[in-house]
Parts: sequence; structure tokens; C-alpha cells
Amino acid sequence: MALTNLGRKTDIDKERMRERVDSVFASLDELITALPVRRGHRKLLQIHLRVGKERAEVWPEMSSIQLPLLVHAAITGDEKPALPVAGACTLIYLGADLFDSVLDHELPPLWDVRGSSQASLAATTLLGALPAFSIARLREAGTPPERLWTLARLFADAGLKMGTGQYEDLLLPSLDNVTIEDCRKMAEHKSGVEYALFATSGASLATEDTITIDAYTAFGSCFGIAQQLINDAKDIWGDECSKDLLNGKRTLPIVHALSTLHGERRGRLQKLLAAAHESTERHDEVRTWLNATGSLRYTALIAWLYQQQARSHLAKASPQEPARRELNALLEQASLLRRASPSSP
Amino acid sequence: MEEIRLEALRALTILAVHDEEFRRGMWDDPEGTLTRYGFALKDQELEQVRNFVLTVRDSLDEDLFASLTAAYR
Repeated sequence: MALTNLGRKTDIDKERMRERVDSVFASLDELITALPVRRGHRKLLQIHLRVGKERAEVWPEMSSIQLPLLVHAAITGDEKPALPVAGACTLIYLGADLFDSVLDHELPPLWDVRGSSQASLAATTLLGALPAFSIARLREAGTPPERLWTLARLFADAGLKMGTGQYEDLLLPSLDNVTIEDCRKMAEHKSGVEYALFATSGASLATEDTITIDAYTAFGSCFGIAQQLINDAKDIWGDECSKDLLNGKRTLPIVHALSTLHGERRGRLQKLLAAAHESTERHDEVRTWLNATGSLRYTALIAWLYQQQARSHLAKASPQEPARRELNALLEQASLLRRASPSSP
Repeated sequence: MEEIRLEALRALTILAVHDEEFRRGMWDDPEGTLTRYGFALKDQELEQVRNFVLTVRDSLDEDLFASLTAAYR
């Protein structure tokens, strides 16, 4: 009986997630349709909106949608007022994702005929201009100007910090002695800051209580770091072709492996990584080395520690039901273990 | 289940990132390593750390790799 109830709750939660996806993308579609831009420019924005919607249909847990709405509901009991904030967060996510794809030469197929220049223009518009338009919709709902300004500052701060993470991502491959701490910081500046923005913006719209807002910020940051580390592992072990290996990235599993090796063996892995940068043929060999050094297990450990920190910060924020359960369920997926760890709530 | 205290989680993370000896010790002997490093965890907290470390350590690689094909970003 208990399992049946749990299954029913999970189905309801999934249905709610899909409804949020539909609401946020409908709101963004409306916003882009109303923009005073040329049809071709609008088309570029619509292309990536479509890419994002297709992704969210497969992965309705998309944090830029779920976190702002659920955090707002966790504080006030109502998620609807946060729809423009979730829209702004999703624009940031889509813009950053598109820039990432341009830099890493991984543009989705819909961009094939348009190329990286037009993709960069779309990313700039998504990141730079549109979030403010989405936030401005809160004014119509009677949100006081001071709170709008707080939100505008939040988005600007996050944009700057995410740029720092992106810079580190580009810089690390050219450095000889990258440390595990360098990788941790990069994860914090990339996804940590992004998820912190998603949670903080929902909280800042809901309350002025700084203790509550800070707890949600820390929750988002730790959640984002855990998710980034999982994505790094998934990139290497999830597909035959690792984009990070092809792009010469220095993610945590790779840097951990290098840090455990010395002398000739370290040199051999470095040569292998250089070869994996050129061709996918050596990717399996890299995986063998990373398995031997326990790098996947180490990544699982660090991701778990951040997942547990996020859980602790969330508990401190005293969220209301049912948002508390849904936030914990989202967080539960930030793990490299197929089976839930014994600490599952 | 009771959550592990935040200050303990932070300390564990710092050591796992910065201290190679601690990292090795956590796989070989989690309880002994935590004691040597001065952690005074409650029984339930210790059980959570031990269970996670042992689950990961003893998982077949296939168990871990299989989770990576799940459809999240």
C-alpha cells in the first residue's frame, strides 16, 4: 500500500513537472513573439526555444523551470507568481547552453544550416536581453520596484560568475598542474552559480527574509555542483564518444586520475588524453585508466557529499509541503548510484 | 533518517578534495579514517557515511556505469 501511494505521488509529481514545462515555454513563446525584432532574428530565438522544449519534454526535471517555481511554492504555498522568474531562469539556461555548444563545437542539428555566428547572436539575445523582459512582467503583477531591482542584480551577478566558470573551463586544459580544487571551483562557478540563481530568484520573489533566501541559495549551489559532477561523469562513461575528451576538458574524473598517478604513468595518461583529444579511438583506453584509478567512484563520493549538503540546507529553509517533497525528489536524482543511497528520505 | 550535520559534511568535502591520504583511507577503512581525523559523528551519521562509501566501493563498475545512461542532462 505504501509503495502504491509512493508511485501515485511520483506520477502526480511528474505530471506537475510537465505542466510547469508547458507553462514556462508557453510564456516564453509569447514573449518572443511580441519582441520588436526582424522575423529572421526572432526565428533564431525560436529555434533554440524549440531545442529547449524538446529537451524539457524528455527531461521535465529541468532545474531552470522546477527550482524557481518550487522554491516560491515552498515559501508561500503558491508557485504561479514565480512564472516570469522561471521564464527568466530558463532563458539564462538556454542562452548559456547555446554558448557552451558554440564554444565546444556541439551545436544541435537544428543549427546545422545556420552556423555558429547566428547561434552566438541568439545566445547573446537569450542571455543578455530577454531575462529582463521576462522579469518586467512581474511589474504588471504589482511586484514592488525594489524587489524587481533585487532580481535584476541577482541575474547580473550570476551572469558574471557564470562567465568566470566558463573562463576556467577554457583555461584549465592549457595548464599543466590542474588540481581537484580547481575542478571543484569550476563546478561551483558553472552549475553551482546557475542552480543557486534558480533557487535564489524564486526565494527572493517570495520573501525578504535573508536567512531563508541564503538557505535556498546554498541549497541551489550544492545541488548544482553535484549535478555538474554527475554530468562530467556521464560525459565520459555515458556515451561511446566523450565530448569532454574530444574537447580536451579537464573535468573532475580526469584530474582525479592524473592526481593519483606519478612519473611515467602520469606521463602515459597525459599522452593518452592528448590522443583522445584528436580521436575517439582512444576513449575506451582513457576509461580503462580512469576506472583503474577509481576516478568514477571518487566523483560519486564528491557528488554525494554535495547532494547531502544540499539536503541539509533545504531542511534548514523549512519548506512547505508538497514543494518540500518535490524538491527532495529532484535532489535525489543528483547521484551516481542507480540504487538510492541509504540516506534517502 | 537523520541528516548528517552540515559542518561535518563541509569538513568531509574539504578533506576529500584536498587530502590524498584521507581519500585513500575513506575507501580502505572509513570508520578508522574518520576517527583518526577527529570526526565525532553520531551513530546514524556514521552509518550513512559508511553505507555510502561501502556501497560505492563494493559496487560492480557496471552498476555505476549503468546509472550514467539515465535520461538526465
